[in-house]
Amino acid sequence: MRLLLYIPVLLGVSIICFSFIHLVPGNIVQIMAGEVAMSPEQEAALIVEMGLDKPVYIQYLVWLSRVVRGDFGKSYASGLPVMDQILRRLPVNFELMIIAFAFVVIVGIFFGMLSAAFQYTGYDYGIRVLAILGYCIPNFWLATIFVLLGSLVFPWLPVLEYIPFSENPWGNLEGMIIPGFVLGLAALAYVIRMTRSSFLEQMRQDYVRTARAKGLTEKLVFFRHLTKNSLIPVVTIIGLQIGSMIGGFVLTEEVFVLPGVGRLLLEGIMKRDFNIIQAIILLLSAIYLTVNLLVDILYAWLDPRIKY
Amino acid sequence: MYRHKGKIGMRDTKESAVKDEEKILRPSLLIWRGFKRDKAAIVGSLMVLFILTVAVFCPLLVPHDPLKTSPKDQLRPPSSEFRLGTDRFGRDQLSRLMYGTRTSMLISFGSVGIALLVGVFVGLVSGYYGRLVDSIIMRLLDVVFAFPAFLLALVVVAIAGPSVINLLFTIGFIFSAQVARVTRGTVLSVKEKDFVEGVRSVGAKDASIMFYFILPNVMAPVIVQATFFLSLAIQTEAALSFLGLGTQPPTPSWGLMLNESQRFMELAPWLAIFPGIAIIFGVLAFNLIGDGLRNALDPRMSQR
Repeated sequence: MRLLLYIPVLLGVSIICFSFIHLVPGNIVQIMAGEVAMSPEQEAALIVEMGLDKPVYIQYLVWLSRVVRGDFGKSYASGLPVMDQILRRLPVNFELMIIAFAFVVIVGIFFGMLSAAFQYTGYDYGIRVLAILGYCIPNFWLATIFVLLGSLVFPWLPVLEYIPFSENPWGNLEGMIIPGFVLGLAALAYVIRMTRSSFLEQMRQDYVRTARAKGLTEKLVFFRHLTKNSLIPVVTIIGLQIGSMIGGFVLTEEVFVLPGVGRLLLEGIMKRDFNIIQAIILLLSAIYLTVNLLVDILYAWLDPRIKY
Repeated sequence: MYRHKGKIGMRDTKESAVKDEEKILRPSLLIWRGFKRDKAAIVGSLMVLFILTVAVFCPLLVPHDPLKTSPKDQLRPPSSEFRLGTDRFGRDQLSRLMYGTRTSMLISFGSVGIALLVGVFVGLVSGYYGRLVDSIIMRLLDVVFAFPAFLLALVVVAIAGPSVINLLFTIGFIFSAQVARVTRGTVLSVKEKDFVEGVRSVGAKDASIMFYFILPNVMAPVIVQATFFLSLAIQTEAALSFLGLGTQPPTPSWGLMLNESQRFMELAPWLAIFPGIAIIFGVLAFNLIGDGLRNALDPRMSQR
């Protein structure tokens, strides 16, 4: 059922992406040509070449048919095929996301559980304060501070330079670990809070009392019973946070100067390169949509009460 | 406990016929008490008060003109004359930071205002009328939710051009989708309540039911969300301005100040530090209030 809904939403997304290029105020051809003055014949020729003379819905179908085959056209700025450019940069984002995700899931859930288990102690308050700060700090500012610290104050921090994995795996990780952390920080903070509150809520449930009355040790109660139930809402939060991390690509890459898709998007925006903009937004949104779909399925599987 | 804005043939439940000695536990009183008890929320409120004071009274509080350039004072570190240093044009950072408060408040309150107006209305209509209208609206909202929010804002502002108005409407529009979803959820549960049917049976029209009766009872979670959105709006505006797609120079804005500081990080690191702290302050303030409100409104009887 959920899968059925997925498709029209995806189509809707593609329509919007497609319409970006047409919503630009002003003469689109002139904007893309830049300062180059063109004669009316040249303009007309360019319009035909870009297929802008056909009615809008035909343009959309043409565009869509190319897109599903993976052809996003050529970048106006560089002349290179858009898909190639994106594919070359995608591994960087993939790696960033994995590092951030690792932080969020491992550190986040761990500290959330810790905070709930030791409620009202100093650890609890400390973790909560740090968590609140975590999502209040703008990640691009934190990135800037890290760069500052790295260059001026602490030379022993991991070097913030991007080295491709194939060249030097260790150096690559060194360069990506702080950006990954910065990308995931806000999500990490939310996950800590959500895990903590979810665990606390479960701890008040009757079945926990039953388990304790049965004589199970605290540890057993915690890990066998509580964890599975408490983690259900956390899964949803993680899914949502992946979206904000995808959004965070642009800022993180910009400050740390990483050759990823985010910076490509930014360049495309600055240069009015609509093929790139459309392609990247469409891809990233599709990925986000798929992730959310998987999260929903996972959620339904984890919670036996939910039926679709 | 539901609030009836008007009288439905019986006495207004707020001032019932009980004497003053037995103070009725009105919902608003309970909420206020819960809020007061939360120390973090109090701190947050004071912070917000401070921010709003600065935003409103900055022309009086400012030591220098934030726009006045001074070639001889470029890139000076904090001193007694320029409390937080100067930037590459010799402008006083402290003054710019103060005026930046104004910009941030304007954009965050403006966009959240738009989001509330549009979102609550859409949510009400969608939840109240249900069925086809609801389905269509929810599908449309799903499409909006499919985009990572920041990317959507980025592209729309990039296409439409960076300006304060565009920022307001873009951020406002994206938030309104979430507001609509939350409103609709609450409306769905409220409209099943008996008093709605009671009022309808006396002949109230749809519009008046929606706005007079359902709306006041739906506002609570919406207000909580709105406070969180205020802090999110500050962050989003700062992020967009940082990328150069938000407020434009010479308007002082925190994100823009961070942008301008990028080039001179080694010469003038203080330029990069203080605007960030301002952003953290603002975001923290509204988040603390939001948390306090949410905890106060949450019907939790046993635990804090």
